[in-house]
Amino acid sequence: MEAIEVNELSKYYGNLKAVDDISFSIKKGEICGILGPNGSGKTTTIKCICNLIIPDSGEIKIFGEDNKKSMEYISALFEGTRNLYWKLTPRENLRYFAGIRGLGGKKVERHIDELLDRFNLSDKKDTMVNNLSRGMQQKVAIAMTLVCDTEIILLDEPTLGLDVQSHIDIKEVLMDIVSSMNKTILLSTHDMNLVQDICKDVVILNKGKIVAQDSVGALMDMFRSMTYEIVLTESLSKDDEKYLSNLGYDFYFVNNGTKIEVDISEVNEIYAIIDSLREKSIFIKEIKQKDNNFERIFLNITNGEVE
Amino acid sequence: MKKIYYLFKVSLEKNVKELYRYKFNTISNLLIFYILFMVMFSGLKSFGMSLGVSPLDMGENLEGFIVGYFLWTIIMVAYSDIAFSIIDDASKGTLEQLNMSNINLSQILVVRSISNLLIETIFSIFLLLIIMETTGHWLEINVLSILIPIFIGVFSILGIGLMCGGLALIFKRVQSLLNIIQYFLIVLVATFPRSRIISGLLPFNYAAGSIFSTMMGGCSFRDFSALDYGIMAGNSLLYFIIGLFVFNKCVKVAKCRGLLGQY
Ligand SMILES: Nc1ncnc2c1ncn2[C@@H]1O[C@H](COP(=O)(O)OP(=O)(O)OP(=O)(O)O)[C@@H](O)[C@H]1O
Ligand SMILES: [Mg+2]
Repeated sequence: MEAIEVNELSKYYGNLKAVDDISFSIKKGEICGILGPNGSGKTTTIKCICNLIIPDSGEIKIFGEDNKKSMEYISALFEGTRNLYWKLTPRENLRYFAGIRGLGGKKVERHIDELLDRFNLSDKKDTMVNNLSRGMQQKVAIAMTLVCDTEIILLDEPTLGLDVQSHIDIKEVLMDIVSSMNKTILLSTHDMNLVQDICKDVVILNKGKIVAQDSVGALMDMFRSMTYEIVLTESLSKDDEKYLSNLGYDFYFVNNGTKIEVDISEVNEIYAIIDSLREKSIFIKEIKQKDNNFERIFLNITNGEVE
Repeated sequence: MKKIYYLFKVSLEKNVKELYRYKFNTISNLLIFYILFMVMFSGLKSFGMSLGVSPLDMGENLEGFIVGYFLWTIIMVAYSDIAFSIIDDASKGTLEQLNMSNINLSQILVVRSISNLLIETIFSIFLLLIIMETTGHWLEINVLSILIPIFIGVFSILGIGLMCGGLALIFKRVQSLLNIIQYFLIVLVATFPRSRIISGLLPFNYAAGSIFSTMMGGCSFRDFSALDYGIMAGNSLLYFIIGLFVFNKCVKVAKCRGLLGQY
């Protein structure tokens, strides 16, 4: 079952295409990341889903229904440092935001206690948000998105501007939500590691367009098969280099010719390359796939280096 | 209905908590009003005496003055609260959250304003009691005769508040507009055209007129005719509905331009 479906969504501000004909969907219970450089349209997309921005064209469905009628399924945390009333305590904030949605009573109170407990905020529950650390404020804000127990949670840059420790804390909180609460989550971020660690699928935006869209694993695989690194026992002679260059592969000779890097499109090609090396009695010390982290993939894609 | 109840409950709770947390502001506001009032009170009294007005007439003027003042406070809150609420929440980054509800933004803001008005009313009555206690001058004011027309009529002002709020969503800086509207509102609660039709068409004017006539004529809310109530309620409803309409249009414009929550 698709929890969120975005079909051919576009939003223009004058001539600027903030979001340009994007489509993607997220299944119930899955967690998807939206990645993209500044101004690529992440916030605009999220706000369109929340019905805070009316798109120029396209449709958004929440569990198959138009998003304008589906607010009860969605909670969201927006970018920026606030999202909370600073003169209220965490408990009062959560109660207030539940009240805004017309919820209250004993059940909600119990739920608030549970959430504060879960996020280790119990001893701060009566301190004004104003006096909490930035990381704790963000935890309260995330708890706020959970207080109404909606199916879908949208998080716009939940780790932006946090110090290292708070970053880790928030990541743990998010992992906890992912593993034990069965929510459908869409989160936008610049943080590749966060995506790598908690997202299943990823949509990469650049200048309002989707430039890549796949599972995190598939994207990593796709790029992992690109580059092999072959370390040799001794440097290549000029003749050998010439010979290899004429084979029709993309070889790069590094470290004075003691190491070869090669981009291949099919895994089998590596055997052909090894055979060629054997013919010339070039000895191999080590062969490995070059490590590719998400950051590099992301940079590749958004720089348009890779189609 | 239950939804609105919880919404009202948390709005009131937030109001009270914030009054308490901004203690200094709250107390100094009260003090300023108290001092201002005492100065005017004694000024009016000596002014009356120097003109040779008998203390009895004086009492009536004072009552009118106090009721006028009370009306004025209520109206000030009712017309500006929604716009201020929007500006405040937009700058705090919570305006988006108010939109994340299946209760309409307009409803949330109106309920908030009503909760604010309630607190303002309680404060005013409290202040008035203190003033009467300290001056030893107990006024004869039939509170119900004032509160009932206010309650019926105040929705017209809330309608104007909704319009201002809608503009605040789009233009953000509406302070000077609010100031100008304030002067129109002074006129509305201080001049009463003879024609029922004109008075009935101006926002709140008929209700304000009724309140003053109870003050001056010594009648009470029971003496108003069904027509009086009809005009008050109709007027209130009319402006409230126009306000809602304008506000919802403005929300739409703000959503199209991506302005909701941007500050
Ligand atoms: N209300 C608006 N009016 C005009 N232009 C806007 C508005 N909101 C956003 N934009 C523009 O639309 C583009 C996309 O903005 P958006 O905020 O969606 O990007 P983002 O991916 O969230 O960026 P960031 O990483 O900086 O948060 C940007 O160029 C931005 O300047
Ligand atoms: Mg953004």
